[in-house]
Amino acid sequence: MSAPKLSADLLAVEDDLEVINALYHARGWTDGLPIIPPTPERVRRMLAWTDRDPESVLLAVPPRRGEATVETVAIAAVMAGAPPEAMPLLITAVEALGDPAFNLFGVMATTYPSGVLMIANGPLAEECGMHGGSGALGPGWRANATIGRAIRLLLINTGGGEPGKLDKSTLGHGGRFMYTLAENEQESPWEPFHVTRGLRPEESAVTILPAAAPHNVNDHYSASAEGILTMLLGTLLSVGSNNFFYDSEVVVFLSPDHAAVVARDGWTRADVQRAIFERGFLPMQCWSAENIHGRFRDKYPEQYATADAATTRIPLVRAPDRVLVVVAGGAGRHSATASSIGISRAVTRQVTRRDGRPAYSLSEFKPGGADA
Amino acid sequence: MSAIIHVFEPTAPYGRKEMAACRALDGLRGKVVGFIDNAKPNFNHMVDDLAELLVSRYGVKKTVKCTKRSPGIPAPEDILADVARQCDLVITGSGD
Amino acid sequence: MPVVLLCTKPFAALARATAFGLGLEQVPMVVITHPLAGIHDTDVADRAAEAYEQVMRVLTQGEGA
Repeated sequence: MSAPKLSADLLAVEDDLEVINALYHARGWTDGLPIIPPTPERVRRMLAWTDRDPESVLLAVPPRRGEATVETVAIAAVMAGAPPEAMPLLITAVEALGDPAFNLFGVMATTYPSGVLMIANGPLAEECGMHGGSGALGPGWRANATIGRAIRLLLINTGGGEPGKLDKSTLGHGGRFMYTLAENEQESPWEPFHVTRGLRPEESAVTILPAAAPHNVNDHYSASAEGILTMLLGTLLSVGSNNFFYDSEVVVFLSPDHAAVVARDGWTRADVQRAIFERGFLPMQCWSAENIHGRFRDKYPEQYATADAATTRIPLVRAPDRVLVVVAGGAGRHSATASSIGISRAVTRQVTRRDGRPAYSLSEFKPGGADA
Repeated sequence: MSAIIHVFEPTAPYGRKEMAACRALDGLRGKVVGFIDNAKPNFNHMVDDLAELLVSRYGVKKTVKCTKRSPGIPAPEDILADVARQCDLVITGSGD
Repeated sequence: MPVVLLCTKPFAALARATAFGLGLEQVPMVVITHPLAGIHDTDVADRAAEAYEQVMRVLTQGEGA
């Protein structure tokens, strides 16, 4: 097969890693970390692991609506240092960004500090090296780190969302570099997360959501599902969370140790979701007087204009399925929760072949075919 | 001196279509001015003050005030249609 | 339909880029002092006066902020 024709603009530069990085950083093309120079050879190696047409436009990225093609994604992947085998998952994530439910326009125009949380499930996630066990949201896992990083580099460079300039996230957080993990399916007592989203275990998928940084849930003592639920709720119910203001989703990263305790008491994932929905309230008086007026009384007068702040309960989520429960992490009694931006919904997208058929193995994308 | 290599720019072309420029407005006296409030704090109060100024000092005939459900979601079609039907000018808020 | 886009100063570049992305780079902009959230009523009135001056200038002279 002949090498694909590449259409991005080329720069002639001195073959010096520091010179190239200084140039890219000066032009606002990096996330502040060093990048791998995207040479045609490297980009072609990346494109060899996708069956998509390099010129195919996947996404118009706000605010400037630059048209990101498969080739553009490959360039971002090279810069991020991603392994070429990551391309099928990365392409799937980029396609998911374009789902109207994700509301990329709102996400790119906000002061809210959201990272693109990406949860991967299925055989392809494991095959390309994604990690859901110990330290999954931290350093050390190449596929996790570089897929997440490639997503952010793509958003910066095609939409014009350069941090601090056109990207107005007030403080940001580390998840804006990468916020990417696999679910720990091996140590989960329940069905894989993507099965709850309508897929089969042998299929692979990514789920993305604009989320704030995780809050730790240190629970070394609860020996019951009720106990762990109490601790999860106490962490989720934060007045700074956007979730109280919108019909939106929260994430629970349940460690395998905590998940085992919950399951031992006979609870399913759905039981955890329902319990958080039913018990997740804060009295209105927890907010400042100005917020009580602006967020509730003024905005929803028919419901809250004369409500008693001490006794009126504000719900965290509006339905059980707004609680996304993912088993993640390694040994230890720390789980985590994360709130989300509120104006977006989680989007789950299956990894597919070019013709739309589900992909069941990374070998389906292997250059030269599965037997090569 | 290092060799020269070629590397790609990571940017993307802008595929948007430029809209036609808005028709010019011959002053505000006797006109109807619409406001689309982005629902950020205090924009509604500023709109009230600005509307009062436009009516009292510049002879605007009437103001129409609409509010989005949330800053991060576009104004719905029914609000846009209503404003387009009633107003000669729209002032809309963006940012904090 | 003539439109005037109003925002506070730190968001002007984003507003302009967003307008560009939508093919609306010619939309007149009014840029006022930041912030608008979390200020007292008298300061809100000052922001309105600031916006009024610019709206008049934009509409009568055809200049954006």
